[in-house]
Amino acid sequence: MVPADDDRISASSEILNRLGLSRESVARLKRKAQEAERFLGIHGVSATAGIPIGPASEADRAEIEKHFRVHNTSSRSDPLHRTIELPKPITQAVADLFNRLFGRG
Amino acid sequence: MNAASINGRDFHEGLKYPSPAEKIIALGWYDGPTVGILQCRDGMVFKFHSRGTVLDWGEEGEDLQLYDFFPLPANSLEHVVSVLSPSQSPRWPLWVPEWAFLSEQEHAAVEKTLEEVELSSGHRQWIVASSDLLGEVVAAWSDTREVASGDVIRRLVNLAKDEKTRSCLRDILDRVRI
Repeated sequence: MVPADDDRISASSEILNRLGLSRESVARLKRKAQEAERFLGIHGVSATAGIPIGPASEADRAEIEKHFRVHNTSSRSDPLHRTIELPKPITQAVADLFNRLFGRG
Repeated sequence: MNAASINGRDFHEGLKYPSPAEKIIALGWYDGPTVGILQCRDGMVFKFHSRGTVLDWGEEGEDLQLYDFFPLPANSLEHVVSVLSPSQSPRWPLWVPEWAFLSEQEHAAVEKTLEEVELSSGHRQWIVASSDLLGEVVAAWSDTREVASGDVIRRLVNLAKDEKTRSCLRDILDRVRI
């Protein structure tokens, strides 16, 4: 398949932006991950390596990938959309780690 | 309100009613569809895009998206499906096509079709607030160009029967730029 975007840029140079500045609860992450699994086939949450559409927390993709798999899930409107795969079940420890990686105290 | 809207087959101005959406192609996704093409049970087709999000709005952490809806010709969804189908199979009720193609030619053909479909849209018809386009419409109002959207929401606040809905609409006013 031919990627319709700039996915061939080095993943290690990416900064991932996740909308919002507040901590995300286990329930919220669980709900989002279940929706993504149903429709994208990946149990995870969205991020973008592009410009976020609102206030966002950011993290180095390489740091994220030490703990979670990151998929390039381009869409027409955001060729740099990424899905951060989260384990099942999403525990408090997982949520804490996720929030910490995005600098959300 | 006509019989079709009472039966939940199309959009109508109001609060908290079952979504009439039957099929959605999401051309943008961020924890849910942000941009795409939607077909209602009555066959009406719209292109939509999110104009703003209220993060972590609901009790279970769901986000509330505020969408603009523009009417499209009746066969638009099928037309887009047909041009995307050579490389992947649609998944209903909500399909998020993978944005990768077998060839540059296929990609160009898809973009050409989407541009044609987008150019065929009418003026904005609905503004819809929803955290689940296949589930529930939290609020919908027709686009009245003479009336600012904020004024319409204030009117809906007065129509809302319960405090939770009023609170939600105030939240939209406060947190989404409209």
